[in-house]
Amino acid sequence: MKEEKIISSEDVEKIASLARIEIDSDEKGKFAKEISSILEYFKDLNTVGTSGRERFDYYELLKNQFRVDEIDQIEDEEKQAIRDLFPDRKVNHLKVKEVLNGSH
Amino acid sequence: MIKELHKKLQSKQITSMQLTKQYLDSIEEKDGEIHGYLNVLKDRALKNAQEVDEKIGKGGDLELLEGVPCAIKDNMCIAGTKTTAASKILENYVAPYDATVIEKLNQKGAVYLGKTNLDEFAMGSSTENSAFGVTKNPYDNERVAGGSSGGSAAAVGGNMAVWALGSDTGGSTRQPASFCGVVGFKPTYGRVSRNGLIAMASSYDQIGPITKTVEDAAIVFDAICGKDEKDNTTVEKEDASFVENLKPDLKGKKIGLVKEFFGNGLDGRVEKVVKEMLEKAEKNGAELVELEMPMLKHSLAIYYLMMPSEVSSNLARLDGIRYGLNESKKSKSILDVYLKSRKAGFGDESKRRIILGTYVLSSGYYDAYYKKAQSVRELVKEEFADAFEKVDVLVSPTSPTPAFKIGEKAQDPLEMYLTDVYTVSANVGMIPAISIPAGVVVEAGKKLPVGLQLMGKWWDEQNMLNVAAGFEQL
Repeated sequence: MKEEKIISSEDVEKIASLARIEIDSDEKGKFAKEISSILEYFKDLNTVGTSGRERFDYYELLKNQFRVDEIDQIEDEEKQAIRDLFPDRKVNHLKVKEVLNGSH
Repeated sequence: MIKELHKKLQSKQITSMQLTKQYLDSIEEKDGEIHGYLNVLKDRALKNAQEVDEKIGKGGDLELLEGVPCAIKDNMCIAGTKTTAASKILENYVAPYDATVIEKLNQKGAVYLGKTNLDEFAMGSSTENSAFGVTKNPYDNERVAGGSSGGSAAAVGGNMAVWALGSDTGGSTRQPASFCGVVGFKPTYGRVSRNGLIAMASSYDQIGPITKTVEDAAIVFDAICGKDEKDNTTVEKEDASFVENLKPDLKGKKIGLVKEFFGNGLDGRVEKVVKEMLEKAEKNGAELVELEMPMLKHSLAIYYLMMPSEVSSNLARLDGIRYGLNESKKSKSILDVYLKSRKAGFGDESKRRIILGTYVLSSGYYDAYYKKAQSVRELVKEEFADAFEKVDVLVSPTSPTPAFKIGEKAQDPLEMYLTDVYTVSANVGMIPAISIPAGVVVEAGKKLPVGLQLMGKWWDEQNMLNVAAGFEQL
């Protein structure tokens, strides 16, 4: 009998496109098989009941921490270093391919 | 070791220049074979060493780390230098700013020898996932140095740096440290700022030292910990210096043996080394308490579910637009740029984890997977809280086996994941943990180091370090 996969090659293709990664057809089958075996391993967690007690007295990171939403000025030198990383630019602006194809 | 070098520098027995050159020579001599470094910062290191020597010449008092050459894992930003995370997608990325840990180390006068190899984005347990080649174990060059901080551990274990920084998401400082015969320390989650650390799994990532001794780990920890506005998970703590309060201490300490960590899958030779160390500790006044912790065995599933979820989100920013590998020339549309840049830029393990993470976070699966894992994670923390009411520290082997052969586990991702079985619990529980050298096993005439792992209570690194220093003296 053929081993049943939790996710199929088609699922992998769809998820990869959502994750914005192009993958080859031979990769689809490979990832489907590997990821299925990892998902199989996660079934372990279904054996654990999680409705029981919960204590929160031992760890103090459980409150939200906020900061003021204000503009942080950075040095010109650092700004330039960031611009230098742009793959393509026009003067000080990042240049990208058109976002809305052909719909000017 | 750091204190000793510090004294020699301060008393002018050696200069920082001599020391730095000595380590650069060692890198030159050995690293062609070991490949612990991705980028050696020779000019910068020599310049910094010279500055320290000038300060000594003027009679200045040195900080402990000042003038002492170290290595930094290449997923932490040093302004003006390449920071690749061992990924093709960041192959030419020059960090525009310093990570907070680097800012802190700069203030202490640390000298950086270079940036060390890792699994791509710190995702792996052997550095075999590095886009730039595997790091070999300094004890046996047919074997891995561990991972993901394999380069840092090999640099320290191979005497190519006095100490190094690693990062630990599921065991990435401790496991390579155990494979390379050195100390690897993961502090409590929230101790050390991750600003400038290239994010992998944000509810797990923590930066930590890889050193020769427990005392050195405490020195480095003192230098890098503390609240940082740029990482809101960091917490203000009024701790005194960890190194000043370090005293080897086993007498009367209750040491919990996690029963589940001495069972199936543990290499008998590793078990023997660890058990011998525990017997010695008992003779020196420690009290061994066997504990059953049934929740801990779920840690690996929790981790390998939540981590890829967080990875898929963190790595979404790498799309070829503002920095990194960009495949514009091969692309017609902006969507094409994303698809092709990410295809060419990410290695297999990154792709696998991004796809897995995207799947388990997708609508309809979120509750069954991510939320469930999060709930079980809380139960693991509760189990730790209960355990630390009974014992001072928990103990286990760091890894179920000594360093494995290059290629041995590379074909099966799940088998590779299982090598993290003892280390991930501390990340799941957010507690501090440390691996110290416990001994060696001999295989085919080569000595392979074995690590002993200690886990401590949240924020109580001092107690854990003191016990670790006690073990170190046995």
